[in-house]
Amino acid sequence: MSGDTAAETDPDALFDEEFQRRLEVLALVSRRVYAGRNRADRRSKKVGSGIEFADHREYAAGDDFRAIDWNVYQRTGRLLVRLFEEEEDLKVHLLIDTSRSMQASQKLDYAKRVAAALAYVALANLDRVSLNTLDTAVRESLPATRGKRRIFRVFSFLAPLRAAQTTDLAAAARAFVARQRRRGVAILFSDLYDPHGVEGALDVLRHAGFELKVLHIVDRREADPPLHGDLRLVDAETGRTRDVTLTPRLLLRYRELYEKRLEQLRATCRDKQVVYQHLDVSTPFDEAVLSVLRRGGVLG
Amino acid sequence: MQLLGLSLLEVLAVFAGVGAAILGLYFLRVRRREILVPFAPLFEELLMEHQRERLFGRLRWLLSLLLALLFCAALAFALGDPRRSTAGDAGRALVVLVDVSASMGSREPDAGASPTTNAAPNQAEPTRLDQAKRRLHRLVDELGPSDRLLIATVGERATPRTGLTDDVSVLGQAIDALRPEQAGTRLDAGLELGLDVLEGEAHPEIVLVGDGEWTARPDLREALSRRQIRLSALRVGRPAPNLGILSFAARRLPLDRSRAAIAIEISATSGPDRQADLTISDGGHPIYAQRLTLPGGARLRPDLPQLSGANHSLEAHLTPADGLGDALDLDDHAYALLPARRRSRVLAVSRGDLYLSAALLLDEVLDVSEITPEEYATRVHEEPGFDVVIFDEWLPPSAPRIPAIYLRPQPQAGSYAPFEVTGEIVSPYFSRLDRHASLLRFTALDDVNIARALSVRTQPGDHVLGASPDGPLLVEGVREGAPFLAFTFAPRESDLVLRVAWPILLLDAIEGFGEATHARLSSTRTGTSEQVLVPAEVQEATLLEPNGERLALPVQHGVARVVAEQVGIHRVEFAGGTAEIAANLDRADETLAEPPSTSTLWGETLHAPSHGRPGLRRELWPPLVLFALLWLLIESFAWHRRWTL
Repeated sequence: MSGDTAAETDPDALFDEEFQRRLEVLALVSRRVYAGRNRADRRSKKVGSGIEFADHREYAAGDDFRAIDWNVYQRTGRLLVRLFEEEEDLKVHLLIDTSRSMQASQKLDYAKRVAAALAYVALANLDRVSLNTLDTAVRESLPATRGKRRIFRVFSFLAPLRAAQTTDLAAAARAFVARQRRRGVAILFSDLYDPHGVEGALDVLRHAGFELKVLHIVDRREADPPLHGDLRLVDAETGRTRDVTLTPRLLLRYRELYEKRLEQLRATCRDKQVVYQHLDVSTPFDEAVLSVLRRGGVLG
Repeated sequence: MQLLGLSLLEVLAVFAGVGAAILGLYFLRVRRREILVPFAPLFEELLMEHQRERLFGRLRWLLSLLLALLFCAALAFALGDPRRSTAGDAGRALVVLVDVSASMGSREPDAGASPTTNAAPNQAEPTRLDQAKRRLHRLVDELGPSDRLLIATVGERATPRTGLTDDVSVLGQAIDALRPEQAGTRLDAGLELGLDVLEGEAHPEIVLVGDGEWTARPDLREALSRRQIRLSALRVGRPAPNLGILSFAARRLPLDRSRAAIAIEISATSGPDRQADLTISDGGHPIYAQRLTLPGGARLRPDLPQLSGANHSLEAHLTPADGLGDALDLDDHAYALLPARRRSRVLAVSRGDLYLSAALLLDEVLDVSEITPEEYATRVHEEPGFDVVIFDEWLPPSAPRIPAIYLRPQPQAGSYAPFEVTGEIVSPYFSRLDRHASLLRFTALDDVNIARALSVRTQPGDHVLGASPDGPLLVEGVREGAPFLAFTFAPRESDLVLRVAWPILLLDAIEGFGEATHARLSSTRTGTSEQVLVPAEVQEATLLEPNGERLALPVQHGVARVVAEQVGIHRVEFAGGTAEIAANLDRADETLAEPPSTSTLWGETLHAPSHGRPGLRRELWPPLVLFALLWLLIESFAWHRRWTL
């Protein structure tokens, strides 16, 4: 663990030519994944103020009464709400946790690669992409941009990112929400190691109207650390120490707690209707992106 | 419990030192390795669950520390070599008397060979003492847990080589260090030592280890029986063919000092006739050789011619010529010394005695000065350096400081008197003669007719060589540090002067004085004490043994005492001179020793030693060290397996 934290990845190597070639492939593959869908499907689905009718859907409590299509109600007796396409492109906010815990096990590098891949796919599909780094606040931002050729700006933004602060995702989410006028899809890349809990951050983003998706970056080695004996554990973020003597039995119990925590996070996201995707750093990033695209509907 | 190694204080010091080091290491050990983890609260949650187990882990740590200290204590205690006290035990107390006489150096043919065949022993074969060592090691190995044993060697003297101990390593080292001596066996001294050592011991036993039939004083048997001391024996050796020189002596002929008479006696063990070559060398150069035939078991005194050209030291060497072998090498060599052919200066103080003058003229190497009593004081003062002075019926005013011969020492007024004269003996005759005295060799004085003699009172230490029923006639002794020979009669008043014995006796006496001053008799036995006269001012002397070793000799009142322990020429060196002693084994019982089939003493058969009670040895350090190693293993295994929580 300590050895991983010391490893620094060369920024140039992170997005090298091989990476970019794999992005091209990913973009092609992503088109096949979304083949048959309308272009509008990948635009804003919220009931907006646009004039172009998009679709109907069942009325739900809280919907604007003015949007109810009374003609249809008269003909069929069903309460359907008319949906209009927003006259704006889909905005994809990529939120990357840059707290110090992300530095361990190269989780940050992995998050950067996946974020770059998703950004490329989104840019290739003419979506607007913005990037923000979060720790206790919004640390750095790349304003929304569009167009495939802007991917190099994304690379330039991502490559030098370093983990330097502790984690307070709720505070960071509040700061992010405060500076965003346009809602859209918010994709959070984080190991979710927040001593204050992640529920607050999820609620802030969700309540602010973002379509939130959580990509949980994990390293399976953290579930089964190769540790034993008398140790002094140093928290990567706070620097707090804790003496512990690890035995096989204790490690087994730790693994159980770790799995339980993963399950709790998954359940929390499910309860809050947040798309949750578990990404192991040992999984090749392109495979992870396809998985995300297929199963999570992150960009759908 | 007793400590035979380190003392209790030293054990405690070792424990304190090592214990402090262990404590330091334990506290060093708990300095934990720092590990960076991404999210420590996960572990905190875990540790909160295991708070109780952590406390138990702390206890285990303390237990580990305590056991490590116990390990240290065990090792420190083991260094003390603790022994269980034997006060309450009733083990055997054994005194092992090992015969280290010359015959124990005999080599025997292979044990597989028939004892009836006289196969030649190989030089690589073990000696009887080597066999005894093996038996002794086995005896020590079979000691019971409460048994104690003392090893002593028995030669001319009994010498304890260990204390009464159960320490097998000490006993083993003492056994390995045993060496055969070049002397005989005196079991009496060994048994007396055993009696002293076993006084008050429970289950006492004396074990005799040797190759011969044992002999000892009968009173020792009663002492052993009275103290209920068991006597047993370990017999070693088998009959082996041997031949050797039993005695060897040489002397210069009184009337021809360039020639020497040789006396030698050789013998062979029982069996077939043996053939051997006898060689006599002088200073390493052979001067005589003869092949001899020895009947088995018999002694032979060959008639050897008078040897011319013999200089000083003679060596006789016997070599088997029949290929039957020779078990003991030590008795194949014998040595003898001849007195140096020096010109002795003799001062004869006489008013004129033709018989005396004639006798002195017979030895051409004597430098004789004849003076009257009136000239004595002046001559002695002006011309010192005489070797012998003869007082013919006259006594000096003071005791001479050189060897003297007194003829009828009748004291006058103001004169010195070697004896107190109490009267006169008329017509005395030699009724008693010391036939072993070297001075009387080659003489027959039994029928000497004497007109009269002085009746004298000898002093303690004087040696009466010949006497009549009424008093001494011939006395030797020492006065004022100088030897003397006194005739209590005037030889010219007897028919002694008409006999050939007269010049022989006179010249032998002068020669004897010279030998006493400058040399020894031709040879002596190993192990016997000899005196060497040295100048009175000499305080120390050195003995150079035949093997080249040097020993400091005690010197007291002008006498150095020498115990010649090796066969060969011993040289005594002191300020202003040297003296030599030739020593030979000279023991028929060693040369002809043929181990019997059973060991006997006082006609009784001696049985094998008793057996010790089986049980654990009393050394406690092996289990302590084992415990320490076992704990080290467990601790190491537990530590690396992280059993400590």
